[in-house]
Amino acid sequence: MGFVLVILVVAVIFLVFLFISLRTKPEIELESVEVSQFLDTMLAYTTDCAVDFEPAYSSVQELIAECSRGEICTSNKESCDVLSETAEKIIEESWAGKLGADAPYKGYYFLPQQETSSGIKPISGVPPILSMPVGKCNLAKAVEVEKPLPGNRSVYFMLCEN
Amino acid sequence: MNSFRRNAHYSKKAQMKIQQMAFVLVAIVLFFAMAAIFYLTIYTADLREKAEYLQEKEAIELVRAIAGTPEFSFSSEPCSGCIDLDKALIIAGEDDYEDFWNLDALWIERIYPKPNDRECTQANYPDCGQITIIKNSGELSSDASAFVILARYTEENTGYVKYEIGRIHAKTKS
Repeated sequence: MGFVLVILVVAVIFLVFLFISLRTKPEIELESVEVSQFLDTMLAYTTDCAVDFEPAYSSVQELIAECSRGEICTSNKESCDVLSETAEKIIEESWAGKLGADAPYKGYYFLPQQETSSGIKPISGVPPILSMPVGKCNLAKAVEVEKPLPGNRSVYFMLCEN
Repeated sequence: MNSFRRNAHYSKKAQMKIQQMAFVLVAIVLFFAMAAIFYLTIYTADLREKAEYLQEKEAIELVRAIAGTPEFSFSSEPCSGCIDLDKALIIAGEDDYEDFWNLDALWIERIYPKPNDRECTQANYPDCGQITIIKNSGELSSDASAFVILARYTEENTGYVKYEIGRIHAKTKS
């Protein structure tokens, strides 16, 4: 009886140590640093859309705000369309070779958001850019980054691991 | 003494108990030894992973730090961590920078937009995809890269500063 008790106590202590040692995932942290850097560079990218006059071209960050106001570019294109096209191209080019069924990541979500009194919601008129259906990603195996933007806005980017 | 041994009556039950105790002690020692070996195996594997992670993180920090040096930083407009593509092109032609950062290789890749994969020269710039500052010496060394904002002045539409997406790569000397 005593021996069984000793074994049980030792097993419990061992499992606690095992859980603590396996809990930290440094790779995920490193990947989130890279994803955060990517999001910073993406938001600074100069798009082909100038709302007021050329050559005052908007960055992706400015375009998110302009799209939420429904503004039109001097090229007569909808700012939301330019935002969608540009963001998708940037993501696809930047993570080329790392996205796909046999790649480290199976897909991504890019969602500009607005903080309202009822919580954080997608900005109306700003299309989310998804490479796969929302329910297809296991959030436990995802690298997520959220960046605050001026005007109570934020942008959420997630890479879903295979 | 001999007469004592002759007359001693050892209890068989007690001998059995002593044997049981010995076996239990051996089992406990074996159990703890196996548990310790198992734990140490996991712990050392974790340490190796952590060391690799720290090495990689250090390399990423290094490339980010290089991007922030006056040789690369874009200073015409406030832009933290931006690389001045025009400056990078000029540095790429200077031999003095070969040993400046103690690196095996250093190059900047244009990611978006990427006109092509050609190496940038004064003749084809900006219609090119990569600027090599330090050519790879061919030694085996750890590779690190980080996303950076590439800033360049373009003369299109009366002239403006265009921010693009790039990646700075470095191979550290091992």
